[in-house]
Amino acid sequence: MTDAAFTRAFAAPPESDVLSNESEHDPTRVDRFTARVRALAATPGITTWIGVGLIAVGAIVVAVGWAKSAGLTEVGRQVPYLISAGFTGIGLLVVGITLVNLTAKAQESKRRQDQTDELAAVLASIRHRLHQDPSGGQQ
Amino acid sequence: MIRQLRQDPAAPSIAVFVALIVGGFVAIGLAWNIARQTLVVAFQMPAILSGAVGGLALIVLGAGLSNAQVGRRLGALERAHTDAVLDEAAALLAALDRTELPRTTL
Repeated sequence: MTDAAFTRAFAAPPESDVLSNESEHDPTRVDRFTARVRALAATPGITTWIGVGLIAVGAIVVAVGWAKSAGLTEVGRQVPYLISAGFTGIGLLVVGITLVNLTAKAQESKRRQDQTDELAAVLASIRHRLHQDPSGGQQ
Repeated sequence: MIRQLRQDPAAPSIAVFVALIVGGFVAIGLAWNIARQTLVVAFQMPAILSGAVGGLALIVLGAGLSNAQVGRRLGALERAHTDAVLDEAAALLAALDRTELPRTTL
């Protein structure tokens, strides 16, 4: 094989090779699901919105429980609504508030870590400049 | 992602706390299942107390402990970054000691 032929072959592999590579990396259902979850997790503020959604769902569930039990006069019939709607709604509210709180904490922490990294980078650059010019620029 | 979770020392405890929250919802579901089978409030009351109130307590406990543990984890991460800054500052000080620059002019 001449050099030119080798270069051509290296630059553009045969079509069958390209197809076989694609079939090897054909994403399975699990891969696609993992990629979707990863993309969703990378969306900024997604957990905050999930938390807000849980709070809203919790409030709606409590309201539905109230509406259902308000039409009943027998306590024995109201109790299942109290349990399924009242307690579940409060539970959802608690989980939603916790999620929003944790997300806000994590975002603040990330900002502080970024600032700290920036400070470390500034100190490192000062040290490197001192290494390059040990006299500190003094004449 | 799973590998990262396995390496995270806080992951097992947070998983336990999430399990507490899930268990709380399951307990509420069980309480509802018991309460809907009878109309006698005296028979429903134990289900309310042990299942519903107990389940809600589990949810609050899991959420609170998750909050504390995630706070500790974030604090540890921040301390690690601050350690890097301190190391860099110490290296800078050592580099300054080696320079000919008089300290007073800094």
